[in-house]
Amino acid sequence: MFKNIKIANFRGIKEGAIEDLARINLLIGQNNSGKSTVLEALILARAPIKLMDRLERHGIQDLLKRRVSDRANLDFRELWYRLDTDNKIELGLEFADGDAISLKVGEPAMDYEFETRSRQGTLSKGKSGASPSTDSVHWQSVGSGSTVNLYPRVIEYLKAQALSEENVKALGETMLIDADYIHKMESIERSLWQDIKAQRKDIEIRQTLNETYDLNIENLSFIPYVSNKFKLYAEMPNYSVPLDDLGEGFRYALAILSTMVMLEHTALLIEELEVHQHPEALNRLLTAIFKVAKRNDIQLFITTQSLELINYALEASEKENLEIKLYHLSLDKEGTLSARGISAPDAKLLAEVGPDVRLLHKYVTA
Amino acid sequence: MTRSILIVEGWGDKAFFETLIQKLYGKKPEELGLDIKVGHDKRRAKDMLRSYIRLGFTKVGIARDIDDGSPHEEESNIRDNLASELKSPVKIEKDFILAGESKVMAIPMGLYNDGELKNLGITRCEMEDYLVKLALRESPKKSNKRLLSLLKDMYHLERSKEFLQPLKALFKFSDDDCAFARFLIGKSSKTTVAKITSNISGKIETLIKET
Repeated sequence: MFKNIKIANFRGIKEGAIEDLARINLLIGQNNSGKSTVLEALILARAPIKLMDRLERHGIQDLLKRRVSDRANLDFRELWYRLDTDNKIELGLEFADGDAISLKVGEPAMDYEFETRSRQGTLSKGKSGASPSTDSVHWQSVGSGSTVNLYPRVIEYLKAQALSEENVKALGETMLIDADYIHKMESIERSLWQDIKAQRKDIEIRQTLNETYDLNIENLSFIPYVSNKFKLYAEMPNYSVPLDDLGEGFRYALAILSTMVMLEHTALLIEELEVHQHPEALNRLLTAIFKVAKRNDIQLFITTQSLELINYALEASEKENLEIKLYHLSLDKEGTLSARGISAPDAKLLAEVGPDVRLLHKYVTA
Repeated sequence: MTRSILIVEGWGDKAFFETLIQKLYGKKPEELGLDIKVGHDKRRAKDMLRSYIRLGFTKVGIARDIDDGSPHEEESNIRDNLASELKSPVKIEKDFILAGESKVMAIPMGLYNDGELKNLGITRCEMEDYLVKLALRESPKKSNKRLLSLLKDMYHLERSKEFLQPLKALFKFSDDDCAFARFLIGKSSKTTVAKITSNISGKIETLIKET
């Protein structure tokens, strides 16, 4: 589990840190306050360990594509604060058990310099390159001159250097879900649903969707729609409907749940979870998500602008006995990120008597 | 400008401050950057204060009844409580107690050593003390003469200050439990209101304008 995150020279953040993270972390703040950038920083940190995620999304390219997908060319300088590639992007992650990894990313080939520190104090340094245009990654330990070219060996390599297996896995499996995720149904079906079906985790997903949206889906099945092509259908008592035809909120929930049930001991980053959700459905969905997070040991980072989500999350975390913390983010003109941590009792007090926790910036001097 | 919070104990206190500020500045508190929050009791008001300090609210006021103490004693009580909660000494800077990133202003409410009012048996709520004193300074307006005359006949009251008791009782039947406060401050002149409440209105002004 991540405990502290430090970010420098990345996107709109010149420097900043989020400290003392909890199991459930809600990131709130005005527009352009750095919420999405914090999530993206974790994906950039993941890239040299596992460049492609479970949906085979490129950990670096996708950071640019997810914002603007119709540009003819990707400009990787946009990842640097004010396009200033002379200053390396710096990311520092500390895990709950005391392990830490810091990364410096330089242009033009996304060359990573990394330094790991174990809880026992072991220190190691190395270099790697995660190609922005291909799926190649190579690693090299400083001093020895040996290069690890075989990508699957990266995790073994890191474990041998300093980080625990749990922490390498936690970072390597970290995934980002945003509103665009609902347009990736084919990737979700192809990449996740074979295992979901094989392990019969579709039962839990179906039950959760029925409870969340007051539906009576009897089964989620792959049905052919053109030659040699299958897609998921929701089978109702008297008819079947392709998931593509169901509402956006339903599909977002399905996408999130499909991902979550397959993840364990890692972090899931969800952007604007409230998108397309009716408040009642949002409440039920949050409870379901927190249950899976607890069972599968998933740390959640959720950005939101919704007061309803905040209040439901506070209730659901209490019900599931999960530690929750809100972070009110703000960015000043010089790109300094400030993250004000708000504990559950303080958040509940604000929910009850005010002021609106989202307007905290009006009451505190930056 | 950074907004301020003022914690009060009850809805009556809130109504008092809202009406007072409207009278003095011609604006609602929120338009002046001040949000009044009701704690309902002393303990909860203290919890709220601690939360706002933990959250780094820059300017927080807390209005407290002075009970049998003096305003000075009340201010030092708040300071001692804060020091104990934060496990570190707090500093005093002009009208503010500095705690963490917050500047806290204690606003003691009520009259003390006012034997005359205590004899009337109407010091249950310090807000009412203020209102009574306000009303004592004002001559009844023409529009109220008929009501006051009726009360005078009904209760055989001779002294204007004694009108307040039945008047207050009448307002208890109102749906708006702050009607009495609104009525009295509304009927008093701005000068009188400013004069009678000078010990708290000055602090409110500092709280709003402090940067």
